[in-house]
Amino acid sequence: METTLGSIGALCEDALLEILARLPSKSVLRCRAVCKSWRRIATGRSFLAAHAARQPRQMLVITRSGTVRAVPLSPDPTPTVDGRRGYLCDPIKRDKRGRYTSGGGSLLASLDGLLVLQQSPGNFVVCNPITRQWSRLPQDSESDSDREPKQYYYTNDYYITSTSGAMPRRLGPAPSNHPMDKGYEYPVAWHEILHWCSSRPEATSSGKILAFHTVTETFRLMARPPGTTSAALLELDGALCAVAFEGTTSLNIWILRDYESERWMLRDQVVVAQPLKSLSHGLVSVAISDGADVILIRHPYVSRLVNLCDLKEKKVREIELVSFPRFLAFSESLVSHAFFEPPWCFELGPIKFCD
Amino acid sequence: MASAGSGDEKAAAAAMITLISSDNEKFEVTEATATLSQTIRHMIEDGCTDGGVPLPNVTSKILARVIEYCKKHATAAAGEEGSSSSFSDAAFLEVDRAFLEELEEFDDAFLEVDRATLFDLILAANYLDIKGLLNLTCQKVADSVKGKTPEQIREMYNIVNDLTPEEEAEIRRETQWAFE
Repeated sequence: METTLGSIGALCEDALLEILARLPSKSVLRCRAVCKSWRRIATGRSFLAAHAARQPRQMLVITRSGTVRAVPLSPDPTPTVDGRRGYLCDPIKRDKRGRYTSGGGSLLASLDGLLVLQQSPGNFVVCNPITRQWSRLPQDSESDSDREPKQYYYTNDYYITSTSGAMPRRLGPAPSNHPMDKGYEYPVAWHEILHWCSSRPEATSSGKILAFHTVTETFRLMARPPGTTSAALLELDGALCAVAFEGTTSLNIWILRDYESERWMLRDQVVVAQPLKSLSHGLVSVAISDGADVILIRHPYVSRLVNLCDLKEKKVREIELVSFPRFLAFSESLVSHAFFEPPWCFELGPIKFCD
Repeated sequence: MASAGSGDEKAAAAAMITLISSDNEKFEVTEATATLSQTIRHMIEDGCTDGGVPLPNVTSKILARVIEYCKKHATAAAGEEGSSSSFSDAAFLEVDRAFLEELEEFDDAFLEVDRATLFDLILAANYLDIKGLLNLTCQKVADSVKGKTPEQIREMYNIVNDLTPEEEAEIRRETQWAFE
C-alpha cells in the first residue's frame, strides 16, 4: 500500500526523465541498474539528447604531462590543474614509468562529446571520454600527410571520412583552385554544418566563409560579416556568431540573423578600455565560448596571451594562460553511437581514463 | 489584490483567471501569475478560459502551493521585463541581486515538504508546464540520487528491482567503472 504513497513510481515517465536529465553522467550510468523503467528511460534517445543539452560547455586543455582535461570556461579561466579535476583521458602510449613510448598523441577535434585523437601518425581514434568508448577512424590509404580530422568527418584536401564507411570517400572539390597552399583551420560546427572562416585556401582572395553541409555533403561559400578581414566564428545562445576587432578600440560580435540570406547583424560592441598587447594586428584566429556570456579569443601570432570577453560586464581583458588551451569546446554526452559497438579494434593503444 | 504594492494598478486592470482543482476548489489568480504555466498560457491564447480552467490532475492542496510559487515568481518576471526596457546599470543590478537572494530563500523554504508532496509538485509542474518549478523540484530529487548506488536508490525510494540478475550484471559490465 505504501508503495504508491510518496513513491517515485507514482511519477510519470516525463517527470522521471526530467529528474534523471539533471544528474551527472556517472550517476546516470548507475541509474540504469535500478530497475527496468529507469533503464529504459536512461538509455532512450530523447533522454540522452536532453541530458547532453544540459551539460556545461568547457574548454579542453593539454597538461604538461600530455593528458586531456576539460576546464570551465569562466571569467577566471586559469586552469587549476590540481589533482584529477577535469581529467578526461590520457591518449598517449607510455611505458611503466609513464614516459612516452612513441611520438606521443595529440588531440585534434571535439564535437558532440566526442574527441578525435591521433595516437601515432595515420592512426586516428574517435573517443567518448565519458562513456569510455573508443574506435578507430577508417584509414586513408592514398595520402597520409596533414589531414584535418574532425568528429566523424575529416577533410583532407578533398576527402571526407565518415565512421559510417570503411574507407574514406572522395567528394567533389571544395571551391578552391590552390588546395594545398594553405592549411585549413579547425572548422566551427553549427547545426550539422562545418565552417572555415579566416584560415583556408583562398580565404583572403575570396573574402568568403567556406561551409560544408555534413548531411547533404555539399560545399558552399558564404558572406563574412561586413567590413571584416579577420574574424572567428563561434556559437552564442544557439546562433552562429563571429567576433572581429574594429581597429584596436572595439570588439564587435556579429550574429548571422538569417542563415539562408547570409544576413549578418551587429549583436554586441565591447569597447576595449586598456590597450591590449596581443592586439597589434587586430587579427583573431580562434574564439570559443561557454555558449552564452564568456568568449575566449586567440590571436594568430600570440600563443599564451589571449583575450577574454565578458559579455555580461561588457569588458575585454588580456590574460596569460598557464597550460596549453586547445581552443576546443567540450561538453559531456552519453549519446550512443553505432561505431562504438563491438567488435572493437584491439590493435589500438590503450586510452587511459580517470581511475 | 493579494500581491499589493507598486504593481497595484496594473493588477487591478489585469484580467483574472479562475483555476479549478480536481476537488472542485476555485482559485482566482491574475493572468500574470497564471501564465507562468505554459499550458494555461496556451489556453488563454486560445480563448478557452471563460468559466474557469479545470485542472483534473491537481488537488487543491497542491494547486495552492503551485499558485504560491507562481505569484512570487511572476513578480520576479515582471521586474526582469522592466529592466530590459530601461537598460539601466549598477543601481538596478544591486536591487536585482537583493531580489534574487530573496527569491532563492523563498525557493529553499518552498522545498521544505514531504516526499509525497514533492512528487505531486513535480507532476503538477510537468502537467502545467512551469519551467522554473519543474527545475526546482526535479533538481531536489536529482540531488538526493546523485552519487548513490542502485541499491541505495531503490531503498530510498521503495523501488522494486525488476531486472533479472543477468540483465543487471550486463548493465554493470558495460560501464563497470561507473559502479566502483
